[in-house]
Amino acid sequence: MKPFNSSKALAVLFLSTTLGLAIWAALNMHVISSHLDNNVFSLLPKSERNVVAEEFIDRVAKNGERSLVVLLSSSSLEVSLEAEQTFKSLIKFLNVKSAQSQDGYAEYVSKLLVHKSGLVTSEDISLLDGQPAAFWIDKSNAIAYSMGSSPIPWRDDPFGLLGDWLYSLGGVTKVRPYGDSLVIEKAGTSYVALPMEIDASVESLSAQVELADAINVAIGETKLKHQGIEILKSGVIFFASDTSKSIQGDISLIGLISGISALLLVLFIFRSIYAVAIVLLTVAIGFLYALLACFFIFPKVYILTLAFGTSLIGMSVDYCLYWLTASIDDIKNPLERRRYLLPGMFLALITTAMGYFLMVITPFPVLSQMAVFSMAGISAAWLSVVLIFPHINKLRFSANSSLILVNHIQPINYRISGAVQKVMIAAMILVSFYGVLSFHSNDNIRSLASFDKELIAQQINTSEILNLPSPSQFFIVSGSTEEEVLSKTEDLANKLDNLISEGVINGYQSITRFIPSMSTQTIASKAYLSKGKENATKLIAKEFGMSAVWAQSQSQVNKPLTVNEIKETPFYKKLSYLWFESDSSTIKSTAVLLTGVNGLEAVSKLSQLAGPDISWIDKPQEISDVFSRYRTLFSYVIAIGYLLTFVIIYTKYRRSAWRAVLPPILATCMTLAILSLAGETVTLMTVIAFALLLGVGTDYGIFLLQYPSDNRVLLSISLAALMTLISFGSLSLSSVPAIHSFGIALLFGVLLSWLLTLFFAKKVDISE
Amino acid sequence: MNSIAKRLIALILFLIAGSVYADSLVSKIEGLVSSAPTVRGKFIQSKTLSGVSKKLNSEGFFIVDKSKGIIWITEKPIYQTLKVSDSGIRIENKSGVLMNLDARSEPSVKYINELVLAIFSGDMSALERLFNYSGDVTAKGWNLELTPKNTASTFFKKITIVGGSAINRISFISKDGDLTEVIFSDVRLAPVLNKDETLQFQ
Repeated sequence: MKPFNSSKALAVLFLSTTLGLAIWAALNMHVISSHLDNNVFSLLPKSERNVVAEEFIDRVAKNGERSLVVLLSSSSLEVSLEAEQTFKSLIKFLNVKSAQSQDGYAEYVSKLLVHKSGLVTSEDISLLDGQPAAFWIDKSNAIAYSMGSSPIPWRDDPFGLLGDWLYSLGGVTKVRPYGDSLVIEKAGTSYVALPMEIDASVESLSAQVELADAINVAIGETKLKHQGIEILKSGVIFFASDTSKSIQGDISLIGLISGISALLLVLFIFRSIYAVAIVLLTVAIGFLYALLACFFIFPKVYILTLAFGTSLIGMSVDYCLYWLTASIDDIKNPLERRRYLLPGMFLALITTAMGYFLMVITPFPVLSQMAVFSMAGISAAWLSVVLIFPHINKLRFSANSSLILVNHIQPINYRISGAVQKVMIAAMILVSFYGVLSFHSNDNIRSLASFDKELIAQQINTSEILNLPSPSQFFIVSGSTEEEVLSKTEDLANKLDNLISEGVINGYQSITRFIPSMSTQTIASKAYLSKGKENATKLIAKEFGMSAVWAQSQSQVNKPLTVNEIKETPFYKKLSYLWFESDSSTIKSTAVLLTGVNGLEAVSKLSQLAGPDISWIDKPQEISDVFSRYRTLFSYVIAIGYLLTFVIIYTKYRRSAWRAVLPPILATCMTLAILSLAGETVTLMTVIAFALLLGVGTDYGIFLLQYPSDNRVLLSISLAALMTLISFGSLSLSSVPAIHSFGIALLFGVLLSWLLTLFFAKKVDISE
Repeated sequence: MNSIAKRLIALILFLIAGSVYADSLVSKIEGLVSSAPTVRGKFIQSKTLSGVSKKLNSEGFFIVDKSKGIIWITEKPIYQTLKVSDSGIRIENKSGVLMNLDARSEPSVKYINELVLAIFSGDMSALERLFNYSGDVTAKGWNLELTPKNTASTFFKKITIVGGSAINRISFISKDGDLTEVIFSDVRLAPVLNKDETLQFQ
């Protein structure tokens, strides 16, 4: 009696733990839902090579997440500005605020003044070297007698040298203030730019969707009120909102299809509400553990995970089915039945988990999370079946008409004549070869996620108009000292200047524009001490009644400007994302960003500029490489997996072992053929699906080898195949390419694997 | 933003000679001021720079053509010209170019020029977009006080314009405390430029 008691204790323990977790989850639902995330950047794989590049992308992601921009244009600037007022009044009460501010500019300029001898443009350096005192006197007078005054007082910049240097920074962006608006010109059209920042209060995904919707409504109303106005929008929030809507649609659709089919199937086979209830309970337990596992392991739970996670319904139901079918007309004690089923079920759990394990070790955070979700979910469902089911006495069923369906399957198969069988096998082999030779792989980033074309077009258009640098293709320059990094960056900048004149790129953003290297500042300071200017200063001091101390201060070399120097100013915030240094590393780095990179040829020219300390980062290419590498790697892993599985099965079933291994192999190859005929491409997700097929597909064969004459096993693997087919097959309806790829591969893979398992099954006389 | 560009936005305000705002204040001023396609006149400027004891006095003349832009010529104590057009802004003296701002590299040039043209074609809505304003009108004349809408992006604090049938005086105070005062005289309107004036625009 002892094992019974301990088994009961385990069941109670599991149930009470589950109940506790369920109550906790219900009470903390708002916390869990606030962890839902649909940040498009989270889809990117972690870089394996460049830590700084990773941190840069993180920074961009963190900034980008919360900012958005709207551009208004029409035939006249006046109309656009009126439309801007309308739009502003419409979004007044939304959780966004205008991001336009130049606070701290004065503080920045005063910081520059104490380093001004080194901050001279190259044009002014050659003037300083060449022009006599008369030129500088004229220039100083021109500034003094001109209209109004300048942002830098004349007494601090009597020759306008720092003014010229500041003007050269103006080239970084072409956006200009206009009243209290911002205006930018592009190809003869004036755009009113409205950069905005999302309030910190907008945290949850639902709040983001709500905000994006409200902004879209405001855009629509503005367009209605001002005829002929064009409005472009860009921002992560629009993509997040758009994809989360389509993913939520996916979840409802896929969940509904697989949920309802599962219940109908259970109801049809077992004709018992009890069975339905117990299946529902198992699925719920699976989801609870899956969700909580992700919640506790990951900082954010991606909504994509939930979409993929709907396939958990099918997997959980599978285990229920193994138990339920085994209990049909079974006179065994439930605990004996457990002992009878445990080896098969354990093997099934392990092989499936192995399939998912491949997903965990990819560098794609979202894939790892999907796998953790699924593994936690199926393990919990498995435990529910193994621990709780034996203690539910009502789970006894008698054979009914549904079993008769199964009774007909095998005899049909057995009636196929030897000759026809040979032809069929030859055809299968041919199709398999075709599949292996003809498939088209696709490692593009777009095979992971797809976005609305219109939104992408607006995003690209906005980036072009605002001349925004690309966050995915850039240089990282590193060195052991700040000076080393800055002078290497200046060398790179000179080469980039050549590429600009060749038309390869439009421009670049480099921190050296704002903080020149010490050697560049030394050259400037040398020119700053020119005789012409010095004499001019003396004369001007006399003319304007300035003190000798003033004159002296205009002809002295200042300490060079350094990163540390302007770190404290608010202005630095705009640059800080370009500069990397940490206490833990002696290496300092900077990012050099590019605008208007046109085509593959430009990319190849840029990549040639890379050197020992200058890395060229091409994120889309890198992602493709990662995809491709893992796709190839997993193909080998699957091949080895089949080999190992065969060896293990061979030790037990000897010459029949091939009957369990060949069907999923052929199914995989034939699925490749079908995909290629259907014009579907093979992605990393397809390969992961095939890995799962290795786990699921061999199960069918193992069960048939283990219990060759048990008709209920035939029923249970057929039902399991059907359930897997429905739940994974419905994933192929997903609008997310990654989930679609996975679903469609398993749809055909599981179907073929099941059919072939039956086809290759050992002939036994069932009627015995 | 570039110092010259900012200086020139301020300059434009010296040249208000056409009609002004569209509300009652503006329409009253509009009633007093006469406008034409071209304007010319003389000016006397006195400037106090912060930290500089010497008061900078200068004088000269200006020409405005709606279709061409403006020319501002300082004759005493130094000679220099300032030209604003839709293609650029340039300061020259007898020996050559001292400063040059190309509209292709500096977008503000276009707005400054647009603003000039808006002022002289009597389109005050452009000014209204840029400034907050207040002022009053009497039978004899009017005054207008302009403050920037966006204090962060502009470096001046206040502009005051005083006028009658034409503009009389403008004063300009910068954030740093520089004070510029310009007094206009002999302001004349005409439908076209004369021969000499046309040559200045070459």
